Amino acid sequence: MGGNLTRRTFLTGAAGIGAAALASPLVRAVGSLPAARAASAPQGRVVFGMWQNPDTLDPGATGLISAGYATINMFDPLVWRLPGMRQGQDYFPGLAERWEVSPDARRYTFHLRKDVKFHDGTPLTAKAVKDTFEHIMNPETRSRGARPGLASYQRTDIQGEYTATVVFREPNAAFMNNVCTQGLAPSSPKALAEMGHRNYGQRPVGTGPFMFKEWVPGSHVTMVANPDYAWGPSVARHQGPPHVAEVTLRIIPDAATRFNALRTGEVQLAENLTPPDITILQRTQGFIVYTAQVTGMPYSIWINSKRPPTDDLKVRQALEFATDQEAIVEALYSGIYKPAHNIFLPTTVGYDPALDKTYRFDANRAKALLDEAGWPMGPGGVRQKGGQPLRLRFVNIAGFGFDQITQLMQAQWQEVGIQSDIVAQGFPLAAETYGKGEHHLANFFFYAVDPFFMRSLYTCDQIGQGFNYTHFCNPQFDDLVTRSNASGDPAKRIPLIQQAAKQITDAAIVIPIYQQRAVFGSSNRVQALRFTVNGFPIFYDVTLRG
Amino acid sequence: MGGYIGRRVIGSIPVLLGITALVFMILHIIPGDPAQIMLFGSNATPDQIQALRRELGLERPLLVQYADFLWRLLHADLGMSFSSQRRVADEIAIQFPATAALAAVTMIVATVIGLIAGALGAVYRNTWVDAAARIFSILGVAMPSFWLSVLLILIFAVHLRWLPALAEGGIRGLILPAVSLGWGFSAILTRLCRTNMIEVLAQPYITTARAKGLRQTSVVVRHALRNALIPAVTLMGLQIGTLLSGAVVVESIFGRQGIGALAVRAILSKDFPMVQGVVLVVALTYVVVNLATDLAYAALDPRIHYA
Repeated sequence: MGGNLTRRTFLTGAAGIGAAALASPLVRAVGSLPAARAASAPQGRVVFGMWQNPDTLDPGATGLISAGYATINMFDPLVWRLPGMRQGQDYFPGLAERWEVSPDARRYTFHLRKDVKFHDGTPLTAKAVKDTFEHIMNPETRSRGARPGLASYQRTDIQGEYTATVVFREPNAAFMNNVCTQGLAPSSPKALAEMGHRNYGQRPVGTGPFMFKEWVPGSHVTMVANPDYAWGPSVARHQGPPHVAEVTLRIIPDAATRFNALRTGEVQLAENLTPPDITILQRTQGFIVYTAQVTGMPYSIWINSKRPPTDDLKVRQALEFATDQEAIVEALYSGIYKPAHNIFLPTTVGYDPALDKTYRFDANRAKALLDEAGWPMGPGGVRQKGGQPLRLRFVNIAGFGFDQITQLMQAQWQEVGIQSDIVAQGFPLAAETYGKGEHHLANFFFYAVDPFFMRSLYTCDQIGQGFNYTHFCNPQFDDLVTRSNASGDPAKRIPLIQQAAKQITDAAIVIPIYQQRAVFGSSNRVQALRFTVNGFPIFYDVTLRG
Repeated sequence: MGGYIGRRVIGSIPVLLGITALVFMILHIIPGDPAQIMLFGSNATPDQIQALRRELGLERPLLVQYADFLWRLLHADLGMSFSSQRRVADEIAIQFPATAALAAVTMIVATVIGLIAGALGAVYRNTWVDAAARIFSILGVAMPSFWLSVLLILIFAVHLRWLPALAEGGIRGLILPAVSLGWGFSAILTRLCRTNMIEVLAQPYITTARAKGLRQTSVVVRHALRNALIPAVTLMGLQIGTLLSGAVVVESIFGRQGIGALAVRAILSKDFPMVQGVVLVVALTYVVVNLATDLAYAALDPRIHYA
């Protein structure tokens, strides 16, 4: 792997240090350092190889991560969520200097900074906040990612030029976390009006450190430094415009080519590399592997709780005990991901580490449970009851990444006497299968910033047309989830969230497998690259060395 | 001759109609409701899905929808992309030149390799030159283009740094993609050319040319090769379809623009109108190129007259 190292002069340990340093959101605790002004004009160009063409660059409409890579740098949220930055503080002022939440979590008042301008020169006012939210709620916009965060949005009241109050019909505690994402970041009212709801995404206008320059579909998105930028988060490494002059997001669908382009230096950052390639980068001088945390749930297998024999709680519990996540992760993702034992990722509000202990791998316990459930061992090492073998059906979503995982699970379960078949279906067909409940085991994964995502996954009305592929239905649970969203006070929310999570865990409908992280390969010329709490790279503080 | 052209053109019409029918039916045969899939992830209510179904005209009888589809086709209206909200026809028009460029350079590469290897094999028949030429072309067929592409990038971009891994505009970016596609195509041309050349070189008029004192090169190129070219032309025309499908893979790997990459993106994002549009355009291209090939064939060889 020698040819690409020539010009680099740095410590041999750099690769290791880089990989270890990252679980951090924006910046490590350097609160004591004075904020440095950007001393010289922005210079240099960073190219980031990403795999997918954005669907739109309208942050309020898009459903894709690749669009998010652009919008996180072109837009500022009202509030930044940066856990771990400063002791005791999770939320930091963004475009809003301060904010108030009503006790019933139905009204959020934001007091905006007065010195912010959009890239087209229009000043940021409360009207921009209102217009942006109305745009997202408008059916013509066909918002995918941002709309759910606005839930039961009713209206935005403007009280003076720089104060906006967002009003919801029902309590919406989750909004405090959703408003911190780029999906709900303000867009220029002038641009929204000029381009219209459907076309705005082709030339977005935000307030961020980078401005939109061009988007050639299938090829690249280019952003240039905003020379007037002076309202970055206070915990950033510097204030003022970004250090680099241009950031290009190059669309490269093939993983091997993304990796090779990183090695030739045609891109300085790449996402979605294969585990073997990541291992190579970890050992190669001149490169760093970043693994940034994300929020929501781990990559998981879901169990259908309505279809025999998995409608039996003991059978589901046996499946949990028969699964060895450590072995799966060691075999497939060693050094990149960690095994998961919780329905939440550790970054989720209300995450309870105690729940991790509920189902640790124990083949003997699994066997005992199956015996208790009336499934004695039969011929050929397969358990049976009433002449029927214990045979389960995995339905994988083709290309989703569960193929090897389920093969390992199949082997692990065989050890305790469970036979399983694996089929793969394209997503539309799989979604239909899951909706109808024709499976025993489904794949699932979902990014979410607030634990209220449980509402979309485990409540009764989500069976059939929603995401409730476990067909779990407990009205008591539904009520618990609704109440957990009813108050903005964490002291009230967290116990309710934890109770709800415990109910799901006890129902044994989720088998968590690994903790998803956002993994990036980078040239070590790229310095001061940071990530949001849900894994998006921020180029604001980045400088290019060499 | 005019009658021949006319008959061929008219003969293409049923083919095109059949293709449009097939493409139209795709949307209705696959599982899942198009409107639901289009709105997937945006938490659409059943009312919104119904509204979209009405807007797309999915409630009407199939035959009416097909007739409407054909009518819009005649006006070069391929519908709107589900993902980008832009006209499918516009997007395809933007991407097509890149694929055309790739196809053209690939053809050149394939032709050059094929003719040289074939001619060498024929002239130096049954010597080591012949064997080398044939092995070279068989290698091209044996290596799948997606594998060869990555191999070429590894050698020429990562290690030698002679060429870029990513195909930016311009000739340098076209070389590796064209070679990885063209090498495979050259194989069949090599064999064909070699066989034809051997046959042609045994002809009396070649002996005459030699008797006239013409140099070997002159004999081979001006007299033999030209006649061996005729079947080659037909072959190239037929290969367009395979070449366009190979472009799908190569464009994705090199991060190139083009309708192949467009098709992949459209499939992955379930953008049905775009997939339909690309399939139609590729089919149309195939039919047109085949037509042109037939006509060129007839023009090239005065002996050929189709009744």
